[in-house]
Amino acid sequence: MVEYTPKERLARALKGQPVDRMPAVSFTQTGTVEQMEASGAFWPEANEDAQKMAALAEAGHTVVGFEAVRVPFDITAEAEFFGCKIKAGTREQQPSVVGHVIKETADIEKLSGYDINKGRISVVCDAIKILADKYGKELPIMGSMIGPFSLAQHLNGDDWFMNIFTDEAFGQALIDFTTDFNIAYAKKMAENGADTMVIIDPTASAQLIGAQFYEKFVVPYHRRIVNAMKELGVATVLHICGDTTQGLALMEVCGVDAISVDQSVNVATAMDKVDRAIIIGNLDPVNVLWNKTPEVVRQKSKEVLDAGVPILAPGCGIVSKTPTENLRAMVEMIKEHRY
Amino acid sequence: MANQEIIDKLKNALVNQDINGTVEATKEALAAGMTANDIINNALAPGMKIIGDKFEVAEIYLPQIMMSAKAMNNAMEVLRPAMEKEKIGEGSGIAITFVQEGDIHDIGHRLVSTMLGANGFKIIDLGVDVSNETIIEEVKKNKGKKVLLAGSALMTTSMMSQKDTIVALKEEGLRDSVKVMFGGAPVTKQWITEIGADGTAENAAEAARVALDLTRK
Repeated sequence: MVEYTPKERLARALKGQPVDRMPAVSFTQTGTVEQMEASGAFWPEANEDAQKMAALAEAGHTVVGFEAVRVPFDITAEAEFFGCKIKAGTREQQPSVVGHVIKETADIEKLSGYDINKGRISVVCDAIKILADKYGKELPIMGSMIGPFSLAQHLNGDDWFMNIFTDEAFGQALIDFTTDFNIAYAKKMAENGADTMVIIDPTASAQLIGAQFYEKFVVPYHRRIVNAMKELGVATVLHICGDTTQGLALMEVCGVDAISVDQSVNVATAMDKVDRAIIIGNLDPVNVLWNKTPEVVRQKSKEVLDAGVPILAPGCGIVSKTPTENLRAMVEMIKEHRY
Repeated sequence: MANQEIIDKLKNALVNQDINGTVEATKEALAAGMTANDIINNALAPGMKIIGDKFEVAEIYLPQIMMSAKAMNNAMEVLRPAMEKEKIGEGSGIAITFVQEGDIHDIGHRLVSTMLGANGFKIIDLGVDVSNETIIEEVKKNKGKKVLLAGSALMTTSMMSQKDTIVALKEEGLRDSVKVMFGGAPVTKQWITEIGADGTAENAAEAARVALDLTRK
């Protein structure tokens, strides 16, 4: 049987084409303290310096054995780019968004005309370039970014949830704005060598906003991003946290290649809910990968594999204190798996 | 308009997220001679119960609940002078909501804050990744009032610091001035008993019921 490079294998698996075996990758954040120690690239510096970011991403491959490299490690660079107040991260903790910059339509106009080559998003693009130059022929180069709905929430604060209800014109203006940004940013990541784009849109959950709002304020905008990526031959993966079971059918309407589900979703049920999208998931990053032994990781991996998951991966971002041996146990289980 | 009609109008305005309608109907109710107590018990509280029920069966979502909460708050503003006269406390009380330090997951927290707000609590939302110092400071600021602490944690590490929150409250002599409830995926009833908190809930609608029970005691 043909043996594919990790890059070919993932590209094929995401399209549902036959492969020699399951690709061992994480679509969500990979940075851990043990990898930081091994690579000498620590948070928070590795969030701000392209060389360090690339070095820590590389550790996911060289230390853990993931068959891909992926940046960045958080989802705040986009909000930071537009001036939101950020609570700084630490060695073990990702930064978080604590302040918001858009109240009304006029504020959106003030933020337009931005230069995509500035700020931490540009660091991410530089890191992608470094990784693509070194590994681009062999490994998938994964870029990730926050999705347009969650970015709108970062910019507008919790009023965003009411604004989509009470002020449709504003809601559409803002989500158009964030989507334009997402497309420009994703295109730049692709230009720099990213071949797989992970869209992380945690607040765009049908569980939170319901199907009606999801259809109106999420689907068309995800579709625009997915289409822009398709034109460039970049695969797309959508990750939304929480119990997305009831939202899966709607999530795939945007044309995304694969959907990553978290541990509160039953993988077999999830596969029934979609027509075409590849389901990715869903080892519990906290109660399995971080807090249990390699033996439990193997057993839980087996359960998810037995449920028929097309690609086994962590259900959400890997916790920074996760032991490498647990991640390796998952990687081994994946590599041994034939379809 | 008969009293029952006004009550129904107010309840419907609340359930239908009509933020001006609740103000108007509350004014009408007062003008018709109803007490703030009656207005709350006969219109607003049952209205919010309907909202909670609709949320539980996935008929409405966060945007609608947040708007109903706003409609509720608007009605409470109108009632405030009457409530003072009748010596009714500040609605259900103050709810300080937060996600424990080290945790940035906030879906559950967001839903709980909104549901508590929709049930008449004045919400002080401290956000995600909140330190115990910040929590204690906020409790001190509101000492003497009816205060509920509602914290969530998605990760086991952040759940551990729920215990520290209780310890810190005791050390500061504040434990008896607040009711404390914790929630989140790893939180169990056993854990709540072990650390000496007052309650927990499986979901946001239940959280609102537990919160009302706790603060009524």
